[in-house]
Amino acid sequence: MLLSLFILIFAFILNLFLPWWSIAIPGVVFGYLFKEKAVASFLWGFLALFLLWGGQALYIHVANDGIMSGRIAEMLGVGSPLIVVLITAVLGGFVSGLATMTGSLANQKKGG
Amino acid sequence: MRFISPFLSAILLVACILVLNTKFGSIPPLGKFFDPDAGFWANAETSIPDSEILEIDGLLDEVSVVFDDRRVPHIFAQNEHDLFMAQGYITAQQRLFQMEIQTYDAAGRLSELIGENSGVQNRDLTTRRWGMPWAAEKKLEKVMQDSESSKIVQAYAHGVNAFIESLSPDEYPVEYKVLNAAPEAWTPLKTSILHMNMLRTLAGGSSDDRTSRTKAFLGEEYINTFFKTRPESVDPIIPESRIWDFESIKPEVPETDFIPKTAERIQFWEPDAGVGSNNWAVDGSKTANGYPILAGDPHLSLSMPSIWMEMQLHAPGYNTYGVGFQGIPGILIGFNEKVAFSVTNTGSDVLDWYEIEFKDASKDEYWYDGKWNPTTKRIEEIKVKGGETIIDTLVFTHHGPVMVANPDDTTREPIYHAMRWVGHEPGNSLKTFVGLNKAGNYDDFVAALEAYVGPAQNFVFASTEGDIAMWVNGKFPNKWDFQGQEVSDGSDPAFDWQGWIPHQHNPHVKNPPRGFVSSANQESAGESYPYYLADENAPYERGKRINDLLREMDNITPQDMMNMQMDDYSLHAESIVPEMIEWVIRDSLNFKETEFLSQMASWNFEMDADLQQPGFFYYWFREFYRSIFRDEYKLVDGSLRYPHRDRLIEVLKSDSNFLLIDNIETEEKETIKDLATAAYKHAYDLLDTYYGTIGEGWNWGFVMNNDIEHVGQIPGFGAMDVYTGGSSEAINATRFGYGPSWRMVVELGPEVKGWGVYPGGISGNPGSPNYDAFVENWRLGNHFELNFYREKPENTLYEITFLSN
Repeated sequence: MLLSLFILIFAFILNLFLPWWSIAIPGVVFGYLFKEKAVASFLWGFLALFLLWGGQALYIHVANDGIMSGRIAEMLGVGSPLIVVLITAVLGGFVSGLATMTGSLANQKKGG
Repeated sequence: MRFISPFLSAILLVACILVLNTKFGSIPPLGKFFDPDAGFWANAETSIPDSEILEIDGLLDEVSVVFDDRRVPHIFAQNEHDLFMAQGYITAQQRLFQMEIQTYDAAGRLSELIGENSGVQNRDLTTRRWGMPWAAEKKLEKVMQDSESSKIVQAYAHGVNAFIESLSPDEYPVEYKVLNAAPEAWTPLKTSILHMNMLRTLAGGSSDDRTSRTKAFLGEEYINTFFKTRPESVDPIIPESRIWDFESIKPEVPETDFIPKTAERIQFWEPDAGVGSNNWAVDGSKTANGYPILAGDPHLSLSMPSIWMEMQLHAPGYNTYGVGFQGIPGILIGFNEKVAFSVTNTGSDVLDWYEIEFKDASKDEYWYDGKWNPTTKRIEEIKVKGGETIIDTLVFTHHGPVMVANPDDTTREPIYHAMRWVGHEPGNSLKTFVGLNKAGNYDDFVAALEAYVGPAQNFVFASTEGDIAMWVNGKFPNKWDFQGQEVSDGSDPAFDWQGWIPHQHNPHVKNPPRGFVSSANQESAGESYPYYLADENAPYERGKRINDLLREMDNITPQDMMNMQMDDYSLHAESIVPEMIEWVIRDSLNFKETEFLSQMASWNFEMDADLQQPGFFYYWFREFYRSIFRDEYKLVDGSLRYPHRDRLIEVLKSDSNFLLIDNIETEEKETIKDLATAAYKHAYDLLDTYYGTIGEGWNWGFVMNNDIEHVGQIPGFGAMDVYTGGSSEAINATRFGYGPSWRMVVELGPEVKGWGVYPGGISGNPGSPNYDAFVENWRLGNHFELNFYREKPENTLYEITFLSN
C-alpha cells in the first residue's frame, strides 16, 4: 500500500517536468527499496499509476465535458470516452508495474 | 522459485517504454500520446483562457487583443507592423496545425511530415511538377519588391514564430501529437505557398485533354453543341445591358487545326468540383435604410477547423473586420468603416497544355518556332520522414513545366506536355487585399484590384458613399475564341498566349440601373463582351435565382439578405422534373414507385432538409444523366468531357432523340422515356437499400450526408452528419461536405454593421468547446451579429496584451 503511495506521489512530480517514461523511475527505485515479491511489486506498481494516470485522465475528462476523450475514442474506434480513460490508466499502470517488478527483482539476488 | 530474472524484467521494461515511445504507421507513440500531462489530455480545454500579458521580441509598441463572447480576436495595434505581427501570432495560436499542413501540402512536402506512403509521395511529386514551390519563389520576389508588402509579410512571419517559440512540446496542438511531429518556423515563402494553394484550388482546372479526346471520339459537332454554346438561360455576371466603350484586339487564329498525338490523361491534379460562391450587393434605392447592403458566401470544401477565421484588425489606417486564410496576412472577405467586399471564383481558362517534342532523351532542347530551343531545369528534393530523399528534375519550356502523359506506360515513346498557367505568373495578391482592407471608396477599390493576378475573382463592392460595383478581376490572357480549349501545339508561336487583357477592359460594372450586382460563378459577361474568357462556367441556376429574387425585392433589410443566403430553391429541378415525370412509363412501375411519383409531382423544388423529394431527385437525375453517356463514354481509354447539366437539358428538351440516348449495349433502341424510367427505378432501389423503406430516413438532410472532415482527415476531429438543406444549384449550396464556408451580410451606412457565420469556431483545438461552436448556427442559417468595434472595448471575455521586449 505504502509502496503504491510513494510511487504515485513521485511519479506525479517527475511527470510534471520529465517525459512520460519518467513514471518508471519511482517504480524501479521503490520496488528495489521495498523488496516485495515480484508479483506483488508488479501489482502495487500497477495500482499506483493506474490510479494516477487514470485519475488525472478522469478529472480532465469530466472538466472538459468529454470533448477531447470523445474525439480520441472516435479516432481510435473504441466506442466510449471512458475506455480512453481506462486505456490511459492501464498503460501507465503496466509500465509502472514492470518497473516496480524490475526494481524488486534487482534486490532479490538469491531468488524469491 | 524465481520465474523471471531481474535482467529479463529490465529488458522487458526498456522494450515496453521504447515501443510506447515509437510511432507505428499511423498509430502515435502510445505512452507519449496518453500521458495526461503532455499527451492529448493536455489539449483538453477545461476553462476559458486567462487574460495575459506577453513580451515578444520585435514589437514596436503595445498591442491589445481582445476576445469577444464568441472568442473572435480583435487586434488593436498602434502601427501597421505590430498589427500584422499580432495577426501572425494570434492566427498561429488558434490554428497552427492547419496553417502548417496546408503549406506542407501545397509545397509538396507532406512526405516530410507523414513518412513513407506512396499516395502521399505521388501527391508531393505532382505538386512539385506543377511548379508550386518554383512559382511561390517567383511570387515572393515580387512581394519583396514592394516595400509595404514585404514589411507586412515579414512582420506576420515574426508573429507566427514568436508563438511557435513560446511552445513547449506538451503545448503543441494535438495533431502534432498524433503525427509525432513538431511545428516548423514560419517564413514569408510559406505565405507565398498558400497563395499558390489558392491558385491551385480555384484556378487549377482544365479540360484540355478531355476536350481533345471527346472531339476525336464524338466529332466537332458534339463539341460545338455542348462546349461552345452558351446555355440560353444564362444571366451573366456583368449584365447584357452593359455597353463596352472599348474595342479589343484579339490574336489571330492559327490557320491550321492542331491534332494532338495523344489524348491521354495529362492533368494529374484535379481541383475539387465543389468550389463556387455567391456574392451580391444592392444599392440604396432598394434597401430599407437607403444605404447599400452587400452579401457574400464563398463555397468551398468544408473542413474542421474552418478554412476561415474571423478577426478584426485595428490600427492607424485600418479598421477591418472579416475572415482570412490562416497564413495570409489581412482580411480576404470583410468590411471596414466605409466599404465592404467579397469574392466569388471566376470561370476563366487560364491553364493550357502544349504538346512538346524534345530533341533527345536529355530533354535539353525542344522544337519551337522552326528550331531547337534550350530548356531550363530545376532539381526538386522531396525529403521523406524516416526514408530516402526523392530527387526529381523538372524541365521547363518557355510555356512552363513539362509533364509526361501516362508515365507508367513504358511500351512506347513518352509524350510530353508543357503547362501554361496564370498561377506561374509573378504577382502580389497581398497588395490587393491590404488595399481592400484600407479602401475608403470606389477608386481605392479599383486601385487595389490592379495589382491582382489570380486566382481570378468576381469582386463585389459596396460603400457608404452609396456605390455598388462588380469587377471580374484577375490577369487574363488575351485569347482568340476558344484558344486552349483543347491540347495546343507547343512548337507553333501562334498557339502561345500573346499578351493580356488590359485591366481596364476586365468585365466590370458600377451602379447599374437595375440597382444590384451579383455573381455566382456563371458567365462573366454578356455576349457583347469583346474578349474570350472561358468555355466553362458554373451552370446558370444559382446566378439566375439570385437575380430573379433581387429584381423583385424592395425595402431590403439585412435579414432579407440572410434569408436569401439560405434559399434552397432549385431552378435545375424546376427545369427538368416536370419533363422527367412525363417521361416515366407508368406501366413499368410497382405500387410504391407509382405512389412516390405523385409525391414528386407535388414537389415545390425546394431542396429542404426535411423533404424526401430532393434526395430522390438528386439520385434520379444523376442516374439519368449517367445512363445517357455511360455506354458510349466507356469505349474510350481515359475520361471524356461531360456536358454541364443545364446545356444538356436544353438539348434534350429540343431533341429527345438525341444521338447518345440509345444504350448501345442492348439490341433495342432506347428512348428518353426508357432512360428516365430506368433511372427512376434505380433511384428508388438505391434509396430503399441505403436509407430504408420510404420515410424520414429519406430526408434530404440525411441523404446529402453532409460531413465536415478534419483538415488532416483525422477521424473524430470533424463534425459529421450536419443535417441541413441546400444543393449545388441552390443559393444555399450546401451538400456532401461542400458549401458556404462563410456567410456574410454587411449593411453600409454611417454605422456599418455586419452579420456572419461559418461552420467551425475560432479555436482550431479539437479539445475546445469553441472548436465547433458555430456549426449549429451555421446549419440553421442564424448569422451572428458581428462585434465591429470602433475603439477598444472595456468588457471582453479575455484579453492578451503584447509588450515589446
